[in-house]
Amino acid sequence: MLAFQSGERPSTVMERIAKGFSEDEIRAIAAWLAAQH
Amino acid sequence: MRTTRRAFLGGGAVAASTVLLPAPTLAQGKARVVVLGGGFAGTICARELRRVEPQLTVTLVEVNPTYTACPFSNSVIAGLRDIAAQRFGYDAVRAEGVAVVQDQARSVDAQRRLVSLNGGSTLGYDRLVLAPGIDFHWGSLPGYDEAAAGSMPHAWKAGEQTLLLRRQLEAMADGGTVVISAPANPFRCPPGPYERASLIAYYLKSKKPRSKLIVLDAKDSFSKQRLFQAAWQQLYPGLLEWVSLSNGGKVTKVDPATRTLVTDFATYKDDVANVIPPQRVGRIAEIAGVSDQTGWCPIDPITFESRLQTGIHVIGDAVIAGAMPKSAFGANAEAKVCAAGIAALRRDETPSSPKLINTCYSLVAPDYGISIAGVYHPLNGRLADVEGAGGLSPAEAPPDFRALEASYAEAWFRTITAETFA
Repeated sequence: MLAFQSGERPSTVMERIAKGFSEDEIRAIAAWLAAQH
Repeated sequence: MRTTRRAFLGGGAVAASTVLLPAPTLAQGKARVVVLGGGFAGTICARELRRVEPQLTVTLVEVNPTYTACPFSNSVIAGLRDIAAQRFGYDAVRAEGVAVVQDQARSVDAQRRLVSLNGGSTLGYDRLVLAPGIDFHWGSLPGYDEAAAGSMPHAWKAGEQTLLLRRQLEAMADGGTVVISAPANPFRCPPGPYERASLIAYYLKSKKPRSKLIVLDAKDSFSKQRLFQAAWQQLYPGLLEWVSLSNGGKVTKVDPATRTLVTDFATYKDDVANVIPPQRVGRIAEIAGVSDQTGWCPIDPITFESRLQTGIHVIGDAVIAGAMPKSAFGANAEAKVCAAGIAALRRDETPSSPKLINTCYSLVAPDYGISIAGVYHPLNGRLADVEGAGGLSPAEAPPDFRALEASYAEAWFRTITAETFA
């Protein structure tokens, strides 16, 4: 998500969305996603 | 006004002592949430409430046994998709412990916290969630009423109207004229009329290439305009004409008997006329006293509780959501935030300030998708754009980028309908 945010990882919509979140929020999202598996 | 735990439970006690409740809500000591409207907003809210608060008794009231989804219904109109792919039932919602009642609310007593249903039963609630969607503002466009929609379909609630418009397009001879009348803001699905124009143009170009499509618009600008117009230039030159408000696009009167649309500048007599009429909130919101003079519902952007009635939350197309558009994706986000807010209020916690996401995909052709995205947060009492986020697909992009977005549009539909109904 951080790579999407910076544009380092190319995307269609993910960059536009990831830019709406702070690094802390992105880490929280990642932790939540990781817990789903 | 923020409701305290005492008020939350207190309201329930009053209701329980004064009403005979149907079986699913008889359990003592359980807080009851009633959700009105089983669309993208109400259905996921009901399910999410069960997930975040398994002790809650959640009742979803929806008059239709099957939901017909609007997103992708333009593809049905264009003959690219079967309407069966738009239909969803409520079995999975029931299986998750939501009581689904096939009925329609007739009235809401916000003081006594009661909902009366057309079928005669009464539901008491501690919290009520209204997700009524839109109604048409019949009469605000002279000549256009429910009967007129039988010859000049709106097709803005998916179902029979979608199929009617499809049949009319199929029956039209090559060389005919199709007109779409697009309303002023706000209305459900801001890019919807333009996706529809695109896909009808695609159908005409493939099957009836001597035909013409005119969009008469009550606005001078619209969602994703630059992207749509560039694509129209490329894909449908000479076939699709957009007439803005300034150029006389606003339809002021229609005559369903002769299928005529009248603007201040001209009269259009067409083979197929799709009138997307002015809209307002579903009627039950007016009855409940949660809509204001704009015709829509002001809400607290953290809990989606009505600004006009304590204990009633409003989500989906019905609300004044600031920067957020009226979309299925937005409705889904609002529903989850509302469910979390209700759960927090019930635990006497302060609901945390949310961030909401929306993405609207539009198909300009089956393999040509474009999108607009946004991230929103409460700011000064309304939902505002998170600065620096969101925006449109790039103006210049190779065909494989457009094809990728078209495939993501379909993936989005599969995901959101699975989450809501499967």
